[in-house]
Amino acid sequence: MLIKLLNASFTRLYKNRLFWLFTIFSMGLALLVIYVQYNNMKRYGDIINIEQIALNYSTMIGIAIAIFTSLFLGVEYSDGVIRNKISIGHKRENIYLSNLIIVIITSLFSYFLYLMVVFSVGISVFGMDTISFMELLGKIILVFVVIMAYSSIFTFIAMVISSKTITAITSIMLAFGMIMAALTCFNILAAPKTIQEATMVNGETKIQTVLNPKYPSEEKKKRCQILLDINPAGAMFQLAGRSAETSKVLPLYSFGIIVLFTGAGLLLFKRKELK
Amino acid sequence: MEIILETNNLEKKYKNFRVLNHTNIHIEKGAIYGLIGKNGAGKTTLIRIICGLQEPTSGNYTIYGVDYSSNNIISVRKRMGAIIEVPSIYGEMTAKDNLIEQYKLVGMPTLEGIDELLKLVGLSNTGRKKAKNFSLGMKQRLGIAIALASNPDFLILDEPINGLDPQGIIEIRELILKLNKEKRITILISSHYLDELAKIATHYGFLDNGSIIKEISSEELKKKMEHKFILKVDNQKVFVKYFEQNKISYEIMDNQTINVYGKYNLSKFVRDLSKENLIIDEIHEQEESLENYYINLIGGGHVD
Repeated sequence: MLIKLLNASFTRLYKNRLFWLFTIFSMGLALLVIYVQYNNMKRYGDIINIEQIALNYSTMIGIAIAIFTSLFLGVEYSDGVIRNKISIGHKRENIYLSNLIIVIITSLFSYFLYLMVVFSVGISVFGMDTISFMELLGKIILVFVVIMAYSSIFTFIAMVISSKTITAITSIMLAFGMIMAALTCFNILAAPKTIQEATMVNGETKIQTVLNPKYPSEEKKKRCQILLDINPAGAMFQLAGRSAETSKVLPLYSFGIIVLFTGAGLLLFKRKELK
Repeated sequence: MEIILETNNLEKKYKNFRVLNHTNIHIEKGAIYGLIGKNGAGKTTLIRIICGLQEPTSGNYTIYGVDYSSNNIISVRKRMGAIIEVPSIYGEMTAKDNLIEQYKLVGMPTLEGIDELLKLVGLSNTGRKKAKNFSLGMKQRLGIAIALASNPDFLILDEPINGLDPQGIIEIRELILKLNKEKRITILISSHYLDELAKIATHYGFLDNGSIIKEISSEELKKKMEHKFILKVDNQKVFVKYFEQNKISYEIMDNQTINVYGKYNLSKFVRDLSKENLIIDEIHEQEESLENYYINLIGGGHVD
């Protein structure tokens, strides 16, 4: 029965304008980033890391997934199609899982297309010699896992909330919220231990190094790092190289999110009273 | 007669508000069952429960004899098609694409039959027009085509003529009759357009405040709705003798009341009885419509 649902969903996906917009956006973005970086290289002599370009999209893909998921799955409620699926005998669990699979595949496909453009066009323009292929592959696999976590969160929202508008607003706000939260954690973690302070002594400016009052305690740093690791946006920022060391627990947290949100979503959707 | 759908003391509560109250309906194979009730009577809630969208608070129901809580209910639902309030269609797709989608959902081995289905519901010439731009009647017909994609033998239509223009109503009515007669599909149709239901239903269920207060076949109902005189008499026997001698259709309602069916002139009828020295205490002339019958039923007026 899951196969039938997937078969129908892929047919709809193929004919869906939103899906093509998502894929065109991903490829267009790749070309745009390459063009901008190429100009920077020409004008300022910047050294461009193709790996950086490849991983940068991951930091904002959450917003794209939120938009796609809320609109693509939101239609199931707004057009009443979900009622049809249930009344003709499809199990609710299968309906939920088929939608999750479609969102995951579309999101991964979109990122894959971005990578294809970056590597096919970017390598010929910038070359590729900064990090090893295996290291990059490892990071891309981790990005794929975090994309799955993102997909499970936004599928949960789209399947539990019956209103397409509320789903879209909630998902997009959450996607931005996760990015903001990740950046806040980064700022806290990046705070220097000491800062330079200028004081006037007898009319002379004296600069001295003092302890940064905003420097987080070890406990706070630990909490921030955990929040950063759990938050898919935080994970993406780390993978894109904004922190010195990528946390080794990222895939564990991502799998945790997938299991937690999918489990809760299945439970709630199974009990949901549909109108 | 095989029973397709049977509900037993079905109850549905939302917090403290009881929408369905020990609802019992029985739908025979081949019937067009008109579910009649005013807005808020519980028609849509009953249909949502039957379609598996909501769970009953208590009671149970069976479809083709399979209890709703059984695992087999999933396979039984595959024999059903339904439109609940509004048709389930993707507005961004054409009529044909919507049907292709439904064919895949129900797992039809080929896409053969889609053109035939579109022809059946009169949508074969809609081309690339998106369903969201269809008229309400076209959407309803597309909804019915989608519900028919799995070749169901039980179709549930919730308020299928709501908001339709007269032409749309005629088209849906003819389609329903065609499906019932030619494809032998059992149909449950809810509506508060009583005149329309009267044109197609073979059985009726009257729902009021969440309870079925009467189930009746159209044959029985037709008899009840015939033009009639309600006579109050003391000596029923002599009246019965006279009616039988003169081949007048009648029915004894209680020990004082006799219903006389047929299109008679009131004054002539009374004169004829007087000639035979048949004294009437009271006489009322009544020509009931389905509407009157329903109003009497829910208002507690004289029904039987």
